[in-house]
Amino acid sequence: MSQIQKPVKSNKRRPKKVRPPYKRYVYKSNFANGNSSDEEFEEEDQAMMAAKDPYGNYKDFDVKSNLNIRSVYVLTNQESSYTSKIWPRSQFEKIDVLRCCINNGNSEYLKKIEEAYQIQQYEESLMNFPVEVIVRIFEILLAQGKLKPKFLRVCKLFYSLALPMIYSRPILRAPNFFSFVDTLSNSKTIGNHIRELDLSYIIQTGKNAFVAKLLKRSRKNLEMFVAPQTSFGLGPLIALKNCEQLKVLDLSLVSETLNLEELFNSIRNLHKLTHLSFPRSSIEVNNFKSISWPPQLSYLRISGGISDDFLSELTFPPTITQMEFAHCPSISDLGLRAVMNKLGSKLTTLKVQYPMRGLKMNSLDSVFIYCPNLRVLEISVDYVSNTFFDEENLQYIDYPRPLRTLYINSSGSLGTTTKLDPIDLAVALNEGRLPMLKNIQCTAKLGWDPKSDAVNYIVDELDERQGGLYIGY
Amino acid sequence: MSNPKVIVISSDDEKFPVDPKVAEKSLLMKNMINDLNPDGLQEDFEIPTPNVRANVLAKVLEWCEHHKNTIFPDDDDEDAKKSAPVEEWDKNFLKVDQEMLYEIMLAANYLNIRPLLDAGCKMVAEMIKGKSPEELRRIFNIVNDFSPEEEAAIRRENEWAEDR
Repeated sequence: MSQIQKPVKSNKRRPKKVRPPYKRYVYKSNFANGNSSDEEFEEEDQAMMAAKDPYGNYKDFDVKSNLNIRSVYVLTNQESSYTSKIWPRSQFEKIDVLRCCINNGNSEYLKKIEEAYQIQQYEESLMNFPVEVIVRIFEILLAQGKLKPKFLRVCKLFYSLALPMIYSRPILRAPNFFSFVDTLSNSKTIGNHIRELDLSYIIQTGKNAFVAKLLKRSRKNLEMFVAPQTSFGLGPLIALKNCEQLKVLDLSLVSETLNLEELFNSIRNLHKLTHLSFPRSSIEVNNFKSISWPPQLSYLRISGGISDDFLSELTFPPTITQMEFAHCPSISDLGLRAVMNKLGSKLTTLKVQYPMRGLKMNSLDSVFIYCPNLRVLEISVDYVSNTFFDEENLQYIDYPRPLRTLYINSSGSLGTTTKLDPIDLAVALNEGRLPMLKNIQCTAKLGWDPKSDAVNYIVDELDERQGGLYIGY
Repeated sequence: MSNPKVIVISSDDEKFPVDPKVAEKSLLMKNMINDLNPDGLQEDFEIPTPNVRANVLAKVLEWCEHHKNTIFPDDDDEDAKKSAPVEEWDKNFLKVDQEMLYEIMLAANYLNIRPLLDAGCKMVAEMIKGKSPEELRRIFNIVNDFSPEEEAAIRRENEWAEDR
């Protein structure tokens, strides 16, 4: 612990008066019969300033000769015993050791050292935490969103501790985006502290050049990047290549059309990338063979102009376990089946969100057949039929079906309110076809009556499994 | 003989006999007990804590006694834990003067009692979050080692993170 305390101590500057400079008594030592030692400190400060001058400025000492004489007096008019080991504490750079030894010490220095020691004792009795405790306090403030730049201005130690934290996950909104870009442009190193960059709230201000610059500055340690809503053009795409630590890349908000081939070119070397979300609109790739996936990808969100061909021709990385579909107007049953055929048994999470214009009223009915290992499933009632929970779709399998969480959404359009009957789900639960299911979140647009027997049965059953049924809007 | 006790000795040589269960709230003491008594505690076991004063040690052990049956969650959900408020009992327990709080936290850090240190850190965080840099320097007894120009530069540079 004592080791770690050192940097804190180094903040305490000793009082100035402990450091009379050397030069004045060396060059004026002949006048060693000066006046009293009760000079004003102010004058001493002036003397110190004079002493700071380089060697060429000695005439300064002539002007302020009385000060110098006093200093000499202090040094040479000694009566008390003066031990040499005190010298290092006075922080002299060069010491007239010989004179000091001959005259045997200096009482004024002893007194000053005593004072400094007392101040140090006093300081140690106050809040003077070891660094690891300060870090802990800062982390708590950061988690509460209260780590403000004012902590940087306290002292250099606080600055060096708080700076990486403040920059690790900058909270950026339209009003502070420009000043943030400014700050990063002016400093080459400050961007290295950034770990997560969430630009989802940046709408009109997120110019390509700015985004590219941010990516460039933060490339060293950036782990998560959420692209802004408007633009993510060629510049940022190229900058993206160098963000080798990137784990999460979310382009789902980008509305500018993006060439997917360029995107794949940029991310193929990101060895740590595990989460990828496609942009909402993208130009289709025709040359499927040229696509190479980031090697660690486990989460893929597909949206935009992806076609059935793309899904059926493409070889998906074998590491994928989580998939989401949203806003894919050109994907039909065929494409979805092709994906589920290839990946179904590996998937632990599947989410299909409205709108998917190409899907039919019952496209998702066979999800349970294709993907027996799902733990989380999100569907929209628009794409399932009333046989979704029936035994022909939701079959028994050799092991307990691991599904734990089920989300059921609805667009609320005509006909959706009567599609799923809670009684089917209740029967599936009762027959043990969903043995692990704990939580269901669905929308009131399903038209499930909370007072009906079937819904009550589901609630009781999930309650017993320490989960629950949540109906929202 | 009844159950063996752990005797914690403060810096001023005051002895505090406590149940092993209480002492084991401190990871330091727990490891010490286990390392030096691989077959389990047979007789009373003395642990000196040379940098904890008696009245601070009494407070710390009071906390351990109160929480001897509390199971603290592991470190996995860090962020949620950090933003969770201090538990009511701990809050009242730590309503002491600044110096005592400081010494309790130092002791908790030294004895490696993570939940107590966390509670202390949260109290300090609560205390300092509304303070100006000048007040912070006073509280932590820090000398401002920035020049006014440097301070202005830092203020300008980090403007974006200020409250709006």
